[in-house]
Amino acid sequence: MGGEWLTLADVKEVELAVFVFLFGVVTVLGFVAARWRRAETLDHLDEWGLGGRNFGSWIAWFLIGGDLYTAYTFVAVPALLFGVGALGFFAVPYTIIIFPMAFIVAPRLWSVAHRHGYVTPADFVRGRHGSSTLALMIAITGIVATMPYIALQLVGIGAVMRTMGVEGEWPLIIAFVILAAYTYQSGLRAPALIAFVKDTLIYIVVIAAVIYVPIKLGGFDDIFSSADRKFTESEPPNDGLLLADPQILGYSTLAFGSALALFLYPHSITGLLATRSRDTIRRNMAALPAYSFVLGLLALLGLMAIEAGVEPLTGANGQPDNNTVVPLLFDTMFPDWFAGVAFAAIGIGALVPAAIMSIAAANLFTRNIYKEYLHKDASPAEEARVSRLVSLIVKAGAVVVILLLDPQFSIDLQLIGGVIIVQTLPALVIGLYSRVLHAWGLLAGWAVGMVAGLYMLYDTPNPNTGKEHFGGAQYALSNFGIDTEVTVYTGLIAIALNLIVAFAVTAIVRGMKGPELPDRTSPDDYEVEAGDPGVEELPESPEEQAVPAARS
Amino acid sequence: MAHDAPGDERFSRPAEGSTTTTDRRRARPVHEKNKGWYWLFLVPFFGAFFPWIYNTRDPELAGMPFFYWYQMLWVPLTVILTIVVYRKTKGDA
Repeated sequence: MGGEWLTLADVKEVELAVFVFLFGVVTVLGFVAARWRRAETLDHLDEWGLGGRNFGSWIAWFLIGGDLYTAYTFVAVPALLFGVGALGFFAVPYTIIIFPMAFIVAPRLWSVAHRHGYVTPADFVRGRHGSSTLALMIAITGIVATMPYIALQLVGIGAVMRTMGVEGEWPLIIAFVILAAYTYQSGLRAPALIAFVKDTLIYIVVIAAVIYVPIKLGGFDDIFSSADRKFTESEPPNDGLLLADPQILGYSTLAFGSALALFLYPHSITGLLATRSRDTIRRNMAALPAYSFVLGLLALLGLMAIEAGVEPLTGANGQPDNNTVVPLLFDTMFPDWFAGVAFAAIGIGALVPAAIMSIAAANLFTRNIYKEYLHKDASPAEEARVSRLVSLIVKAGAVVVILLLDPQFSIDLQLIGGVIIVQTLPALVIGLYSRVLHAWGLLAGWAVGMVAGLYMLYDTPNPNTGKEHFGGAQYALSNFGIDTEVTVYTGLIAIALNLIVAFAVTAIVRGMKGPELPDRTSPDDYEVEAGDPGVEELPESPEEQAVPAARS
Repeated sequence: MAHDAPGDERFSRPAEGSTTTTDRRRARPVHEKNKGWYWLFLVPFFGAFFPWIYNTRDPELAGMPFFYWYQMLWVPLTVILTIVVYRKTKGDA
């Protein structure tokens, strides 16, 4: 089956037609976006890369929601529940705690970034800690963590395509070429506009699914009993409708560690910095959990698929691919036209984050590698030009990775991505509050966290799949000589080591009277709101005047 | 010197055409106050991150085990807490 370029044997025409139609609509939107809330010029990273730094509450809600809740999330989380049960539900506590944390921390980043014109997290690290080496490491960590995440969006589209009977790789290539073209053209405005369509479709589909599917299957009683039966009868001991005792600590540390990681990803920070004010961010943190609720409902679809008797399609590597479970459930449960809408929701859901991620990675390259090391006096117009080109390269790279390598490789890389992006937390988050850590300490901590994290991931086998390395992000405490089956999220162990080393090396540097590196920021930079000196308010845009909440 | 854009490149565009910021709808920016309310966010943290308290099947809700509906319940509860904190910390215009 796989390997051929194109097989259209049993294509589901109605589903495909609806899918192609909606995909066409967002393509048009993507190009039109260049003129939406138009700037005088896109020749500035603030415009191309941050959409004018002027998105109000509504747009930011769609944009950040569309950014964080990716197609891969929507496919992989239910797939995890289908496969192992309770453990996959970590996505819910994870997304519960993210927004309160961001509510407190993110406005500080917004303020200092606006005062100083920072576009990327590494820009801030450079200004705050005075070390371009540290900033470079933060930038590289961000790029490395983001790249496989982009590739995984293709896995989401691929799962949908295969369910519709479209085999082969050309649809992915077409989708990404179109995506690359309008991202190049419109910058962050393209995903911001498309996010409206994406999120609306997702909400419609999920709400329809969680009402309609349980009714058709005979209620939650049946759904949970048959899931329970499946997990009890299956071989591996790590699945179940509830957590096994040794899994509990792993579950909560995974949820907590993932929550720490999420807003450190460059694409999340791009979304935050594109907002108009601190208030926009704070307001959004109360409204964004609507997506968490949808994700929780969606996760339950993985259990519904068990009762519905869904058998996952075989993936390219000959193993059953659980990522096809949710598309298959839609396919069996819904009428064709609505299944088409659902597939379009997932497919378009891949485009929004992929666009933002590629913009974020391109901005990191431009600001923290190109401008810092290659062309020190690049003008704003040149920065924008470089970023646009790099965004194309980033997407081409993601396609090549998916086509040439086993998709499992991207999944492994993404696992690594979560663990390594947490290693930027001390420089960024502690940096937003104080300079208690010296740049050299931060650098040492980062290095130790990276090495330790990678080693622990390498050292983790997966008995279910027979993989010897990179079998998951749960590290067994027995490796430390503790006699227990308990596991802990690898990223959390690595960040603990990172912090210990960072404080220790800072103490040594200060003890030996090492040089204090310059801090370009001042305490009130972290508190300024739009309208304060240095952060003048931008002209009102007509679309946003209808938002009543901004008036107080 | 690369990263701190010089003044004219910064994102502090004085709105061209318009007169001064005092004409604007939100003439004076509002700053947060009473940040002690942030401690309220420890409540969802303790509610959601200790599976020892909710890793049970009973009581079920419409056939759904406690484990699932309890965690889902924290989503709207956290929204309410966030709105409370937002209101309490929002400064006066």
